[in-house]
Amino acid sequence: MQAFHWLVEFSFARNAMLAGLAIGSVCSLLSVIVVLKRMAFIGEGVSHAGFGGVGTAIFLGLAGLRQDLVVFAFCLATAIAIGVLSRRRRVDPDSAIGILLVAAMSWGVLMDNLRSTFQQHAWYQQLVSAVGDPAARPPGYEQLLFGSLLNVGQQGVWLAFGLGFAVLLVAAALFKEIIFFAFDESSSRVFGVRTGAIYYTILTLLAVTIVISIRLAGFVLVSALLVIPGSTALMLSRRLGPVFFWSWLIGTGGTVGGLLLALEAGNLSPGACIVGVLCLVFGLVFAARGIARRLSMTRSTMSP
Amino acid sequence: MSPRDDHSAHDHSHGHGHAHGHDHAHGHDHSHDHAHSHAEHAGACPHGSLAEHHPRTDAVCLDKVSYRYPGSPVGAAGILSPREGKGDQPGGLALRDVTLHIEQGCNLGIIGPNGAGKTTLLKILLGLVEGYSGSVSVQGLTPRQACRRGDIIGYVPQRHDVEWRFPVSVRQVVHMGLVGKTGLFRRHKAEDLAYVDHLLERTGIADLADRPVGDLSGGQQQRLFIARALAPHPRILVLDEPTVGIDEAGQRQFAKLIHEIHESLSLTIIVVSHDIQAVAAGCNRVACLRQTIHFHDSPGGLTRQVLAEVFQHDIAPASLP
Repeated sequence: MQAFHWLVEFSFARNAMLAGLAIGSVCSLLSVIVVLKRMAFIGEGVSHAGFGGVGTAIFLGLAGLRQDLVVFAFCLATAIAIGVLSRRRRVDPDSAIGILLVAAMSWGVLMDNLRSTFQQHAWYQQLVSAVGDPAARPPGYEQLLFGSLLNVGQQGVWLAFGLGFAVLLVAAALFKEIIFFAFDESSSRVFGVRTGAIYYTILTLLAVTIVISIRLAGFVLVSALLVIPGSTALMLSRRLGPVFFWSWLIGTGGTVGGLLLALEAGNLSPGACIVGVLCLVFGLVFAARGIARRLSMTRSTMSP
Repeated sequence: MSPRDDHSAHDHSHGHGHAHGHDHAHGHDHSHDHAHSHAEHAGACPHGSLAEHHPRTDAVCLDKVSYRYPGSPVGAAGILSPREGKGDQPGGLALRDVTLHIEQGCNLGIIGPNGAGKTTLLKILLGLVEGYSGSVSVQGLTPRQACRRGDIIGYVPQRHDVEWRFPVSVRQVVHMGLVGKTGLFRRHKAEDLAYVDHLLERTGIADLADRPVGDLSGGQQQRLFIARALAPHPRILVLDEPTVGIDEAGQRQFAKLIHEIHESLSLTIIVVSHDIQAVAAGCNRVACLRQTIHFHDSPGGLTRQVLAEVFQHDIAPASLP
């Protein structure tokens, strides 16, 4: 009951919960498309690329909204680079993602290293005071990688709701094109879908979604929100409407459940808690489906 | 298919065709006129010869189309690589000087062995492959323009190109066919949705309309794709290897359906296949492809010699007459 006490008492907990609801909804609905179009690894690559953005922002002394903008620029650039490389078929998409992912992450680490190297230099202090806020304290690695309740803030809630709504609006407006594209890309092109435009739109939506989710869930764990709800829902139904509904229910349920767990325990990373709950749900559904299948098989062999 | 089968299918489709035209005359004045004017060309198609075609009435025109697989080592002076004959090799010439005029309302089968460039030709027609030399027009438009219109080409892809576990219903897949015709940010029109229901009836999968597509058999999947292709009232129906993996009964049923569609909707049909028998049974025109067009006429003219030329792998195209 610790969790409810926190929620009533402290605004940071309420903010985290509200942002979690918005993020859970957007990520889980998008995850159906990500899983159907087999873009899970792309989601992974784009989210990890955000780490390069945070490293750059820290180096420049940027915080808050301006840090988010740099992260968004990195995510979007990586998403588009993955798209260009894999669509031109010069490089295998998996390899392209593998390369860009580590490139962006090591860039982030290097920028953070350079910050401590240059800290005493006058030119660097001038740069930081010109571009950013010298007083801004960079968040710790653990917070960046695995998320933090304290990171969200009022601003994070507004961002999550505003941008999340925008993402869902765009996805809904292009729904018939996106579904045909995911079902059979080359046929959709013959039937009049502008497949290039749809592909890059999906990548952009992914980048936006990842940026608003990073504060709460962290870089490493945000991709779980883009994969687990959709995969679980696809085991539960073979119809489009119910798949989106189950995915939404599992995604928001898992996010809220994970946050409550983190609040209750006090010192657990929220991202890790969310992923833990989602994995648990996935495992239970997977096991239940296996049992159900075996039961129906024995029933059909036993009946004459 | 025996001549008797052919005859009965013909009669049946005539009856159906009239009823269909009548049904839609109220809601679809435009498409009715369309069908009527096309029927006249369709009548002329089996008798017209390649030499006396009229460019204005052609549904598809390919002129001197050549295509080289990407990554080919072409010499500085454009000298062809020694691999020219092996079309299926990377770097080889997939198509060489293909000139093919497909008359309005004709039912053409394009046949050829594996590696003959059938798939490449198809992809060029569908706007999926660019970077060819020569010119291609589909109803007077480039293939890309024709596809973006959404109501010119109806495409029936190979069944194994698709993930059948995808969570969509049969009706939802047929609705996909309307996507280009309806356009961005719009909902499908009620009359188009009604036509989809009609097509589901017509292709015999109406009772499966709300089932997931994964429940369908091979033949049903095929009919689903035909219904989807017809949904936007296309003027050309393109089928890619439609007989692969379908049993003999299914193939007969399929040939009958295509025949009915051809008669009643008066559209141009292009079937690409390696299956000579299936094509010869259903089509009133045949083109044999192996890097270039070796033969283009009615199936009656298909001799053993022509087939041997096209299907024998070891003869280099240059040595052919």
